[in-house]
Amino acid sequence: MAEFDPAPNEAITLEIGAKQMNFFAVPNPKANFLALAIEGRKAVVFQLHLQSGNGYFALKVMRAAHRLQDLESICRGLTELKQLPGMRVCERYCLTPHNAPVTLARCPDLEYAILMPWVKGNTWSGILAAGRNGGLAPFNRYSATRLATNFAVTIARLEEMGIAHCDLAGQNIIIEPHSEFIQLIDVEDMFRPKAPPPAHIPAGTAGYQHRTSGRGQWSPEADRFAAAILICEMLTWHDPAVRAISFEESYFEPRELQSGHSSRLDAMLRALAQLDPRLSALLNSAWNSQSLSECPRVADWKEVLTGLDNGIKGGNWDLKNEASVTFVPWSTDMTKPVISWSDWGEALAEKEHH
Amino acid sequence: MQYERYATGDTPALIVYLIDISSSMEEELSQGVKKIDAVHQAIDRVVKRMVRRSMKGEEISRRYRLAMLAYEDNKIDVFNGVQFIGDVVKNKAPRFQPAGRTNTAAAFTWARDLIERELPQMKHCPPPIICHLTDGQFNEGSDPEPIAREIMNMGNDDGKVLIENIYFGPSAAAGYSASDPKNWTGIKDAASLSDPYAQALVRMSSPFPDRYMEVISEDKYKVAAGSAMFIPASNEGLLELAFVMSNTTPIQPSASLIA
Repeated sequence: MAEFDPAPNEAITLEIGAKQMNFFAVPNPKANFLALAIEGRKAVVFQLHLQSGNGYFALKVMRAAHRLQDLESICRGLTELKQLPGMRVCERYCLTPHNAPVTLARCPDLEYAILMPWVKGNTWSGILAAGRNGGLAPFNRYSATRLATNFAVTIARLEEMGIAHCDLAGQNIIIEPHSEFIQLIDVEDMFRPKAPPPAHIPAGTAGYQHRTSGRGQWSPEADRFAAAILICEMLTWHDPAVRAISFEESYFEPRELQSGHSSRLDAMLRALAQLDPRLSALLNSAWNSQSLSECPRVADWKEVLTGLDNGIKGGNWDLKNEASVTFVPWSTDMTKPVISWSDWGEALAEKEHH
Repeated sequence: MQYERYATGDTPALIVYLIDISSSMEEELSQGVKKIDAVHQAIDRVVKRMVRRSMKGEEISRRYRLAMLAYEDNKIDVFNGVQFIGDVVKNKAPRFQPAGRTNTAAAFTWARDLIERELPQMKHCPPPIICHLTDGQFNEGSDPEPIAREIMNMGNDDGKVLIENIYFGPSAAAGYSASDPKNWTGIKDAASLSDPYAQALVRMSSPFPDRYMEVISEDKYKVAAGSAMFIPASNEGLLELAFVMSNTTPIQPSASLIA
């Protein structure tokens, strides 16, 4: 019984319930001897393409310690959210011994793997990391406000339903290409009314954690602090003074969050005040909060931002002199043969042979 | 707590591979597989895993920097210094033809000098890791142990440089006999092994940092706390464990607490 580790373009068949779906593993565009896969702490996510049709899918293969029976009911609950803005990945199938016995007999690694749509785009953390060396084209005060507004509307809609993502962070937010729309990923541990707690309670991600997050954040208020930081990152990233002092894949260094003095906070507050003083007041309120329930609701941000967004649409902003910046792909020159070289793909295929 | 730093595009991890390509690496490791072939497979698996851990959308981030020295009594700087993982995979995979004697001390001296040059720019990065793949029979040059100890005393304020040894010698000599690699509990005491070369490699291995143990246990391996970063590469399962270990520089995780 083979490990699930497809070669690029390898055919993959998944039998789920009465459906049989045929895919191939998409090659990594930067290393075409490998299938495109992204490894995180809990899972490896492979990109699959339907053999007939144009659909791209993500197959999230859980690592051994995270193959938990609860994933089946979690996925069922999440499916109900798939129509909400930003929740496209909630349309999903979980492969279980009950609904995919043939597939799992062939490849036990796929137990509790999750099949869902592949969301194309940059993660917000990727934009932050690259932005200090360039930027996202076009990314100015206008697109910043649109992006932040769309994000706030998405999270506020969840908030209104008593739902929280519980691990909002730059790496879990995808910005759709050529747009200011966002999609949330890594949604398995979301708080939903009446849903049982996950086996591992989220504690947030460094750079977005409230002072209380270390105790676990799985509640309707769990997103308030992280959303505040993310909204402010999105709103101010067009400002070169903000970009210049950004930490890494988050704007704030984790340990400076909610600390007494922070020059990054000062720069962000200045940039926010230029947009609307109510925004800097909201950030101050979140920054100084002692608990997540003391943080402003995401709905409070949404209210201010939709007013700004309407101002943009109404043509109140003069954008002619706004700065914009461009992302470029990373590349570095290199060469040099040593002893002998073989193609990585051939080498890996040889390995499979053994 | 040490070894807390994340490998990121701004604070990449540096992993230095030292590959023994002396003539004894032409010998069989198991079932018709030569030691050097197992090394080639190991390199390919490591590179594959690093790429996966470095993907940002469809881009490979600059999260890992690699250096690789192939050595016998001569030395070959495979990547001509240090390269980002995204650049390594633009080239072809290295394949070595074993020959000569085993000058491990010279290889560790090369690694020490490289790390000495790199450390001043690595103040905010995870400490470097040396991953040494060998069958351990040093038969040329001086004793490598003092140089390894010197390297293990280097570091930054996140921790000392780590040395991991992947042992391509006989499995019995490494105290390994379990049929299930996931139940292997590791080696804490060099004296528990019979082979003097294996003993030396254990002494030249750093203990696993707690932070790494967390990541390893997520793959359901049972390596005991305090074990040396010494892995007998006697079969594929253990090789996989070795890959996990040389890749466990923590990437930015979503922290979670056990409910």
